[in-house]
Amino acid sequence: MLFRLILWLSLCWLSILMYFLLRNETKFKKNIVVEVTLPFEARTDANVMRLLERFKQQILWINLVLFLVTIPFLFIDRISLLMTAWMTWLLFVVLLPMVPYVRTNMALKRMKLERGWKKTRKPIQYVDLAALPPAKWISHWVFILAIVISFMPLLWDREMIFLYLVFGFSTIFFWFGYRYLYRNKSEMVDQNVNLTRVLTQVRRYNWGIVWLVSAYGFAAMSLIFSLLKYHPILQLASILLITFAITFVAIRAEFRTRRIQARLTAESGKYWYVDDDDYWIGGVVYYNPNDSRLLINSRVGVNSTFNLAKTSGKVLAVLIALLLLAMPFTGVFLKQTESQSLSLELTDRMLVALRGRTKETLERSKITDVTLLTELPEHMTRNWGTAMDKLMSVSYFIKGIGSAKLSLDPTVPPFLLVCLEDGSRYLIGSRQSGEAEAVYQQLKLQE
Amino acid sequence: MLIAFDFQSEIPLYIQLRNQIVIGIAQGLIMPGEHLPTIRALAEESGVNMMTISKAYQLLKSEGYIMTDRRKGTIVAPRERKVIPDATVEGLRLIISELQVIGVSEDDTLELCIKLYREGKDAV
Repeated sequence: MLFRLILWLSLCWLSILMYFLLRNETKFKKNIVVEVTLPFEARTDANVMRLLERFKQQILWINLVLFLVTIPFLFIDRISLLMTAWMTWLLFVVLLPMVPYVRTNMALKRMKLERGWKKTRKPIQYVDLAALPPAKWISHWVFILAIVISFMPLLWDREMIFLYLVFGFSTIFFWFGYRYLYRNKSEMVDQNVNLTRVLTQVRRYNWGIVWLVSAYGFAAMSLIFSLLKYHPILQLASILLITFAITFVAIRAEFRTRRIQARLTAESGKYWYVDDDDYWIGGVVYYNPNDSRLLINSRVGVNSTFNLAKTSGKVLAVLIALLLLAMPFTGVFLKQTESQSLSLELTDRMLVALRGRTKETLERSKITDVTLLTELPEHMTRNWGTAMDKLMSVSYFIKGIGSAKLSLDPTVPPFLLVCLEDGSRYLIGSRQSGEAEAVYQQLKLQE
Repeated sequence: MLIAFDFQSEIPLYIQLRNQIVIGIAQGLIMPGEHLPTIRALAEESGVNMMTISKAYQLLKSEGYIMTDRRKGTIVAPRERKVIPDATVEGLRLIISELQVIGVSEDDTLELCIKLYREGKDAV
């Protein structure tokens, strides 16, 4: 139940976040509302207001239903089924609110044409030379420090190498993301150079905060995994706290940027203003064959997106679409993984632990000790592999034992703890009744 | 100073950029000694290919409108009385001929020239 509750708490709020993000789209920022650029007069136009109100109602109901749907998930026992439910739900959270969003965007664009608010059909790109910002990036050393911290546990702990490597490389990715996933473009709204400069600084600052906090968050997680190795509850609580902090900072940065964008451009749109709506299809997809760059800054907030007019953009879009569509099949994959066969084979020279098509082959002559465990040790931390209801596999850290390779079904005891000459340990089991005991007896006879 | 890249225009993008910078200098929107953005920054900003921006800068440099310095970057060249380039005389001849063909009088042509010339001069 604890796992289901943690999963529920970790995910259910996404529909609420989606609601507030989309609701925020109905506030004018940089003259843009629901990704449509409109003149100042449109802010008080009754028809525009009506469209926006209708949109707010639609997303409220959609996200409310999506939230309520998650409550029964708390009572799904099987992990595979639970994951299928959550992944399908996530797909709906991403796609379903997009329907009223795109419809409202198109309706506003139609209204813009009818009311003569669209200034030109020519594809013109404006650049204000005076507002071009000199790129001031956070020093590389600030990120390098986080990277060093995240790799540091490798110096004293070799039992969970994989975890530390994951944290270390994630921190490198955050450094890379900060520097190279940002398009160094000024936030021009109109001819007010100072406004452009401030908006650019606000965006860049918040962008930096998100990546920096993520980098140090992951560095802290790496340290926590190492230092609290023997305190799993404290470890879990700390990891959840850091994850919460990173998520909070990211969401806060997005909303804070939007709030400042709205406040600073509250009086814009009365005279000349930038309008590149033609490149934003449905307000969701950026398609601009005249733009040679792949990475694009979203028009509001701090996010980045990509240019679908580029071949690399199309490839990325297909990959993302495939990933999204594959999400509901996660459960099927988990079910297959969880139900793969688990058995033990003993030959004259070898002890073989079979897991599906995977084999762990141990030479009998190199076995120094075998213990039959009727229950699993209390504190086990997964280093790499699966930790499912009916399958624990690959690499674990076990308190009092150290690192071990696992291949067992935790619901089918007993288990064999096998130690080899080279110090490596294996905790293995079988789904065939009595097989583990039989293997144990034969190994003992050999001794 | 605002630069507009018109992607539907028949005028190549690098010429559009070159022309707008020349007009900007004439109108005092960019002053001698003032920095121009780097090729990379301008390409990143506009989405226009770096080669195109580089071509415009090369042209401006060869025509003496801008100067490049390893430490200072690209700056607008100081204004000096120069010999009018042949290409400019030819360009002016063509424009005056066009005005003649559409029936603009000599006085009106001169008046227009003075007006446009003063737009730049007054701004400076």
